[in-house]
Amino acid sequence: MSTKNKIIIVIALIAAIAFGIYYYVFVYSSQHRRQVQSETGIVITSDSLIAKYQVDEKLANSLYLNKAVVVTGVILSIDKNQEGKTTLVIGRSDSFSNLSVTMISTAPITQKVGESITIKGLCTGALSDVVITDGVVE
Amino acid sequence: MNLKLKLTSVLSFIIILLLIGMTQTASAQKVFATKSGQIYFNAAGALVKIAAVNNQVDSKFVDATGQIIFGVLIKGFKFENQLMEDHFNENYMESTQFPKADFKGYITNIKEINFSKDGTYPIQVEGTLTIHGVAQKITTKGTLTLTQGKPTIVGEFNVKIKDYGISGMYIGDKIANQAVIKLNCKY
Repeated sequence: MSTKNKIIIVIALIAAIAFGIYYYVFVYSSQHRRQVQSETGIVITSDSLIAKYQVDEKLANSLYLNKAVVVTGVILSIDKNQEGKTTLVIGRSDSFSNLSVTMISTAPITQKVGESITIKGLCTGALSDVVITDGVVE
Repeated sequence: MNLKLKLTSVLSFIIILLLIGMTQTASAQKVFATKSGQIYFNAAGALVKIAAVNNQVDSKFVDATGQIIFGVLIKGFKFENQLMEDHFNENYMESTQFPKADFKGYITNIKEINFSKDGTYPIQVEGTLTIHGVAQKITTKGTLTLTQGKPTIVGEFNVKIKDYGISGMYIGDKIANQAVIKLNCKY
């Protein structure tokens, strides 16, 4: 193989690797986001999840932070956030802390305030409420 | 009526007045709250867009004192690019170890806001911002807009990433040294 051909092959390889890295970082990663809905979620009631965060936040984070959870509880309120996505507060009206859920879409849900609902979503930790993002109705 | 009885009556009257005053002060004070405030973060370098939004800002403020708090969960920041989001959480913010950031402080010119009159009021805010487990004093400006009595606070400020103990190989190169933080909270 001539030197010229070797140089062309090396340049082609470098270009292919550079394109591969560019594609993975900027194209593939933009088009393929984490799909919490397709993950197996940890099944728990809203009361139990809230209680675990109230008792020991660090321990609760080790169990639930950044994990898909399937939570069942009673809807206390339904609203929209500033992006227009549906938000829910789930829990008990007499509780100091509840579950604050942001749904993945702007579509309204069929359940009403006072009814029970099961949501799958990503647990992102706790502020005054335990927070769930990317929620979908199970 | 003897002097002792008169003094007792006067004292009782003063105590009742004080109690009424305290009750009225307590009832006049209003706490505004939201759990769906929005915070936008931009640390774009020269070539790459590094920006994220979090729509679950937990915030409260008291109109009488100007006391204000914001809390945000780091895992709640959404990037357009999943890989950037993963790197942001794992390599820079270390969000498993430091899952939240918060601000606790005061709107120092709260007395200049007429909460019974709609309009846009400039605000000055001072307090402590804690990110990545590191607390720093900050002072910033913003606006508080009252629409039908409901407040919206909008603000923008810069944070020097390394001031909060955040390190990473791309800071100062692909990632800017300073991040721009924009806040928009409807209470």
